[in-house]
Amino acid sequence: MTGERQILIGHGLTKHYGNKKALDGVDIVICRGETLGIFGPNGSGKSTLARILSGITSPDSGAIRIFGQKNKVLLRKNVLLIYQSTLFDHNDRVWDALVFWAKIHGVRDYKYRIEEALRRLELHDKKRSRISQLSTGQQKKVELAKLFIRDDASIVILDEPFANLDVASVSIVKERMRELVNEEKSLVIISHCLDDIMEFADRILLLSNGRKIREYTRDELQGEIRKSSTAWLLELTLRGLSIKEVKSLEEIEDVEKVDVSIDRLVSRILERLGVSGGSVKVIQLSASEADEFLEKIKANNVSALSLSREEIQLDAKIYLLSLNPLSTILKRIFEKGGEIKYINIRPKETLIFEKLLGRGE
Amino acid sequence: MRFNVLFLYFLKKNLTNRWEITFSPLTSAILGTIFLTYGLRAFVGETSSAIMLLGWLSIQIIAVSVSMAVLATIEFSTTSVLFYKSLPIRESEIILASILSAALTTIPIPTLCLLIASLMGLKVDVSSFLLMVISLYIAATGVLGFILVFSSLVKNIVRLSIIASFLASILTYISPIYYPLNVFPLPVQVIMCLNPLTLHIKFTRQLVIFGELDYLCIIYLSSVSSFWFLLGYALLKRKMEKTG
Repeated sequence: MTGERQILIGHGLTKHYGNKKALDGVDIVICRGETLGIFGPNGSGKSTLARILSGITSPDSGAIRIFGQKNKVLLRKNVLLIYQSTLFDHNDRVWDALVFWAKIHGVRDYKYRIEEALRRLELHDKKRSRISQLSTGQQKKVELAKLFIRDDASIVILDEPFANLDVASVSIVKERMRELVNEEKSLVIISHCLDDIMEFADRILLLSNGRKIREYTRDELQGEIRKSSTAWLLELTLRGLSIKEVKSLEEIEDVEKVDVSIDRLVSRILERLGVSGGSVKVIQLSASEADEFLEKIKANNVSALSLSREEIQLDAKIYLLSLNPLSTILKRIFEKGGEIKYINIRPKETLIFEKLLGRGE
Repeated sequence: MRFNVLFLYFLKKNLTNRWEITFSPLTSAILGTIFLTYGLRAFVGETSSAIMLLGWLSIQIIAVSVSMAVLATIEFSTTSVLFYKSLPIRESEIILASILSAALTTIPIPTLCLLIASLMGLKVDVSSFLLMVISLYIAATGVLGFILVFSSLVKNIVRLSIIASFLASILTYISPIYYPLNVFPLPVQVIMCLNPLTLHIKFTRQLVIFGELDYLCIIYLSSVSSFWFLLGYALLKRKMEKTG
């Protein structure tokens, strides 16, 4: 990142909403012609950062310079923000809203551009409709029309650009984004979906709890992702199954691996042995260690200990390559007389994010 | 250029998207003008009816001004403000365009009523008519500013309508609608003159009834209106900056 390529520099950006710190001292640089991805879970401060970068919101502390100047109007002129849901007044008609927006941005051939944008986004028949009468996806398209109308912005920020869009519209928007990349515009893509970011971004900034955790190049992040082919994580708390029975779920196709935690089981055993369960810090054991632990208990002739099948509670993390084995897993658990006390399934983004967060911090 | 685009956008929005704000007061004002012009003249004579009618016509800006001020306060203190803040224009210009267009939105009703009254016999020549419209606009900016001062301080938007109707009644009752200003003791007159409508009513009465162009009154009106306008503008701007 050479100095002359840097067109926007944000330093120490901090923003509070009441007592909540939405952004905590974030530094950011946007270079000419590059695409920056901002990735993070919900509530990580991505949209607040987008608003600050586009001059809509002022940071409580820190500063933004665009072309070396600290000027909010210059920032708004040069940064085009495509918001996650439309910012237009919902009582306005589509055509009127876009005409006003184009005029105030000084777009010369605005009528032609608006017509063209609406045609490309297949919204032409809705131009006389009020925005409030449109579906969520169509409202999003009205917001996205900005992308086709203005071509004078140096930086285009897209906040969750593909949310609520149908497949055809996603393809149209991606086509326009590629055009902008070819025109040497700087793009900032904000999303909690890693695939959307990876398709375009040269650099990826990882945000969590309003803090910048780390920055990756696309190659670095791709390397991290390749290490894991897991698509979904199934978290279960089971009762009435042995460790061996839970581990046997690994045999099912598309199940990558099964981790069993016996913390609950150990607590129960310690409780039975007369050791206060609440005061004992339960040690983390892998499945094989757990079996060994149980063997040791047996070897020490703890004859007074007997646990019924129903008393055995295990926590399992099942890493899935797809959602296909889900029904087989549940069927197998119930067939063996198991009971599910808790179930949670999470997509890979959260897993990758957790993994990256672990490394970043 | 950008300011003009924004001003016209606000004006169009006020007159079309928010037509219900002006439609109801317009209907009642037209009916009121017709009946009052006829009834007062028959009951109290030409001069007294002109005094009352001019006062009554002037307060017709209150209903729309209150609604406009409340809407501006809501618009600039909720997430709607993000749209305006995304435009390549300073916050000060956004507020200015909003208030000035709102003030202009209040003008058609009293102007139309004045026209009806003059068609029904209220003697107003063309130059006086135009001067009255200018004076109305100045008073409207002051009234809007006055309401904005208080509405901008309200944190709970739900309470805005209560505050607004309270302010509207203050502006109505502390003004010489049905009688000349000089019937009051001087200290009361001074307090009443803090209401931009008082000075506007005084100015139009001098103009229509006595045929005098009271320069001093229009200067006072401009000063009082500017005071409320600037105060309302500053407080609304602060509210806008805090939002988003």
